[in-house]
Amino acid sequence: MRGKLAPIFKTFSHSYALWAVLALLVLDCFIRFSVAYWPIDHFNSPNRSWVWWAVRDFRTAANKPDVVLLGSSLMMAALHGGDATYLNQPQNVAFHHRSRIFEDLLTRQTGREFNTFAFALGGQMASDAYALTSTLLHGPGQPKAIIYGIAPRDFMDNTLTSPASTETFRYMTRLGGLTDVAWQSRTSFWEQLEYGFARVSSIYDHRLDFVYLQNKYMKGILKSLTAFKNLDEVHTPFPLRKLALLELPEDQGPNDLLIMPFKREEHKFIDNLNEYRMRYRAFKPKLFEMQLSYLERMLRFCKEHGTAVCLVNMPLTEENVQLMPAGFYDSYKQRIERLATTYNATVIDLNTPGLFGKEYFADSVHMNGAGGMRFFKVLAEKTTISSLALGRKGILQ
Amino acid sequence: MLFNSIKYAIFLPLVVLLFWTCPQRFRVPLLLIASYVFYMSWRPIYLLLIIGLTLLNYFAGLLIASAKTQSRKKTWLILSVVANLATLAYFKYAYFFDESLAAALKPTGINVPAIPFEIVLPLGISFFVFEFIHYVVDVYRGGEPVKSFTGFSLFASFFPTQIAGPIKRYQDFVPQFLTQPKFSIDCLDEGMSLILTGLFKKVMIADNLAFFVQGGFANPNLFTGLDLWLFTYAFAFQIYFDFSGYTDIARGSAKLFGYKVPINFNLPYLAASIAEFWHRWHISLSTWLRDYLFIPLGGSRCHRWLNYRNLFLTMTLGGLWHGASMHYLLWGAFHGAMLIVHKEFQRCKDAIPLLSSLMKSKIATVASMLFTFHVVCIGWVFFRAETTESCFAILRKMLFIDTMAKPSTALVMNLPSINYPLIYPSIYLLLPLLAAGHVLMGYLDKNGTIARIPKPFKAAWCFALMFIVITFSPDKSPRFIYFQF
Repeated sequence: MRGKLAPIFKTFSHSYALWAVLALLVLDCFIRFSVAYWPIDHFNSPNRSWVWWAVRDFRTAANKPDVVLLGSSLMMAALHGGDATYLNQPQNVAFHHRSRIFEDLLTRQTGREFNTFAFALGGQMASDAYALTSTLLHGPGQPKAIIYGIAPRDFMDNTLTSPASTETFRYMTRLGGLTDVAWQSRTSFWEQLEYGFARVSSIYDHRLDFVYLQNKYMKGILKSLTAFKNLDEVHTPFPLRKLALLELPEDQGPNDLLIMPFKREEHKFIDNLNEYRMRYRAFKPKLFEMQLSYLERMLRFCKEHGTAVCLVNMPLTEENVQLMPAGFYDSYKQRIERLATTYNATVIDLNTPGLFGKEYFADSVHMNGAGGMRFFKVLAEKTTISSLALGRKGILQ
Repeated sequence: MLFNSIKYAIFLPLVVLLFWTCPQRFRVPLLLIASYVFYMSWRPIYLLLIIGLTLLNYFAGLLIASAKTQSRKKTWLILSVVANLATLAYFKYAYFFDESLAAALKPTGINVPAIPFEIVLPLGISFFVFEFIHYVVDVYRGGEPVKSFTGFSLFASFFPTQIAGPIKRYQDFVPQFLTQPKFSIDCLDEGMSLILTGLFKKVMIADNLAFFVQGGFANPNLFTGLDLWLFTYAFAFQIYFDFSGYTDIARGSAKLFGYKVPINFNLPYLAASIAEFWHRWHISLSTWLRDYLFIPLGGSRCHRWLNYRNLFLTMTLGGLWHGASMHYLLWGAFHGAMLIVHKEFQRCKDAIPLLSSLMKSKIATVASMLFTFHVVCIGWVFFRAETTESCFAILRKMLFIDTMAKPSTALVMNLPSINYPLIYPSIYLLLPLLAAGHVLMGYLDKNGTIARIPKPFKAAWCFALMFIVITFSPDKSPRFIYFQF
């Protein structure tokens, strides 16, 4: 056998390409065994997404938050628009991660100080909420309560390819969490294969670290070579960025988005029903069930760690609810109620007739600044009432 | 299945392994099955199209060769060429013809209805139809038809060249199946090296430039003439690295089976004239156009003006081959016109001895290269612009001096993503580097340095490419530009 293999080895030993492959394997092994000693901070990322900016502030916050706000762009619009209008000054989305209006309202009602922190991120699915909770909201950063603004889209958006494909999920995976759902969050064979490859190859697994280092040193070189000292700010025209970001990972500059105070006279309602027609079209029960399972995981996690959870059914316009498949909305509410009961969470339904008229909306789902202010006012009242009514450890402890 | 995808990274080694481990007589059928699987990974139904055209041309070749009279041969040839072109016209040009006819007849009040159903362009149709036409024409001209049906089927469907060429010649390619190659380590080395180089060109250079280029060409109104020149330079390198990268991967993949496919590029931006450019750019297409369009039209052995007409028609149709849009047609016509201008200049040069000797100097050669590159760049505006209107808007800005008065700052060009290191942080460093690299490659190639590189350096080069491709490949990558043709 040895005699037969010898000429084959001899032939292959002349191949420079195979020597290169061998060298790569050696490097891969070296990285695997030495990576523990590398000065790698996984919070660093080559691209700065909204979740990156939020995590950066969360880590450096002076005080541990009492309440963490989770939710999608519906919560985000209420948060930034509400505070911009309440404080009458523009709010920078990269840096604004607390609800000042909500803090003030709760303080007024209870007579004590509250700290909030918002992880409200555009497109957040229930799986992202679980990713954030299980990765960040325990240990030293654990809040007393989580207020999670939910809406049907967070459970049924058919533009989502898989739970693992969102920026939030990817970043939380990078931070070392989510090993419990690593395989099930990747729904296609190719995603699972790619994940498997990352487990096998250290180079592939650490590619973001290499890209980050490359970027860091490249920036250093450019700063010394050119007159531009701030290479983080965005100067590229928005249409150009928008096109590029269709293909590239989400990347936001610190000067990317300012939310202005609401002015009734400048208010224009935007009809985005077509977008939601697309999102709600071809309802996939499997996707819905999967996202509900992530909500359940999140509620279980919070129960086990002693964090109170309040699920807030976000206000929507009537036209938007009518776009959903027949019977879906009622079934969605029932399933949420059932899960909340099982895990001792509170449900506050703010999508009730007459509570939020169309004048509080910027489009069919997102609230304007006035809507944001009203949202937190109603939420503060209902949170107080529900906490008192439940008479248990919670937000107002 | 894209060459720069994980699917191909699994598919290719698997087929290579099966190919070299199975008995020789099964190798060609195995490659044929693999090629059909490759084609079916996009739209399985279109496999019927490629098989149908293969059958048609296989029998057409046999009928042409066996026909007793010249007129019978010609009849079979015409029938097969018409069938090939009709297929191409239906899939590729039906909308274009319909819309052009509607626009032309609109002033007369005649309403031409829009095509009421969707026609999806089959991948690679322009390439394999041209290969079939070459085959039947060459058999008509006296070539030996291919007897083996499996061999002929593989000629057109061979997966490395199936989607975007190079356009092969059956006389060069099919005999390689008949004399089965033996496994050689040189083929493995050369194949892997070509594939890695192609991936590097595509993933690291072309894709990064693509993000920059698409923003500029989609919003020309936002930019000054100087900016638009920059976008155009970037596109010139993008399309070169994209297409030559694809060709390298195709050639490298073929090499892993021991087969040779023709080269398509030879440092085209070092051309000192537009005629030379076409000897260096997409060589398999330009030689096809010469042999099967330009020469049948009369070629250059005719009256000067007829020659110019032939040149113009060939290039215009070559432009239209790229896509059913007016801007591709204009791109072809532009190159046709430039070739005519070049021929006229040659005539002047020959008539004036002083000019002729002046043009032989080194400075004149460098100036000619720069001038040719800029002419080609103007052509690229026709090619890349999203509509004919935006094409002329861009050219107006690029050619009018007043728009150059206010160049934008470097940071305006600074695309955001850090995950794409060659673009971020600055395009200004990248373009001169690419241009210098092009010149350096030309120099090294001319000296024969590349061929003499010692093996350890080649190994280091492959190692570096593998590391870079694995590390810096984006999660999503745009398709190869020539896939759309």
